[in-house]
Amino acid sequence: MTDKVCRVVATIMGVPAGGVNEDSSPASLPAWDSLRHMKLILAIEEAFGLQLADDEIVSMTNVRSIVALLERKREVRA
Amino acid sequence: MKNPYVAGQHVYLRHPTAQDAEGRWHEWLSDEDTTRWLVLQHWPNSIESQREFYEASKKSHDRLVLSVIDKESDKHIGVCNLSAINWVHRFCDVAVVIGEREYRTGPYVVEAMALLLRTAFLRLNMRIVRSSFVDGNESSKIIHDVFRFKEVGRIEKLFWDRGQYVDNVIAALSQRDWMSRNAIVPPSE
Repeated sequence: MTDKVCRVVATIMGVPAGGVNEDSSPASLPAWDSLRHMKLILAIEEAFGLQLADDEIVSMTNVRSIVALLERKREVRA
Repeated sequence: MKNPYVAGQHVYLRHPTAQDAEGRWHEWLSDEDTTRWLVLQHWPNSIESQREFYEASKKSHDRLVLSVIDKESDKHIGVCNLSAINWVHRFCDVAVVIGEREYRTGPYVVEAMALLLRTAFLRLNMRIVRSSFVDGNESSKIIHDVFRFKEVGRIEKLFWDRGQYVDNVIAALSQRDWMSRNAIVPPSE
């Protein structure tokens, strides 16, 4: 899960895959501006086949929170 | 938080104050980059005209103007509104501007839009929220996509943008679609 999220983040931010980890955030990745943040939301929805609610979208502030959100949703689905 | 009208994780929205009107609000609406995509905001803005707008907004029943406040610093970072509110047919227009540049990264604009849509659909019982943006404004297009606005039309070459005429894209989001996506049972109409 984390690896896939990191790959999506790296693609959207235009950085090498190895440059993104669970601690990555807008503070650590200069490319993570509001435009790319919104692109990331759409890319995560597409990559994981989800449609997110507004409060879930708002909770996606860094890699760790994105992974946590996706894991919660996976538990609900299971 | 001071007098929050609706609050999120990073920002809250509240009624504008006279201090807001005396602050940097008027500067945001003069700045060339900020106003590039605000199709009706091409004239220089002044603190006097901002005061007039603020006074008028206090009395308006068809425009809800809210200041966007960073929760951590309690700083006024932007403004948003629901305008052209039609209480009979229950529709309105939506707009969000994050004026302070350092807050244009991160979650602020997304959260402000989420809070404003929640206000429109749950608190004011709007049925349709309309919006429009200039074709070519990538940020505007993407935030409409994130919140699942549907493009419902466009007026070709309506706006003048730095040397060329560009389309006006018209978008709309229904209360029913918004409630469905947010797992809220829609009302029967």
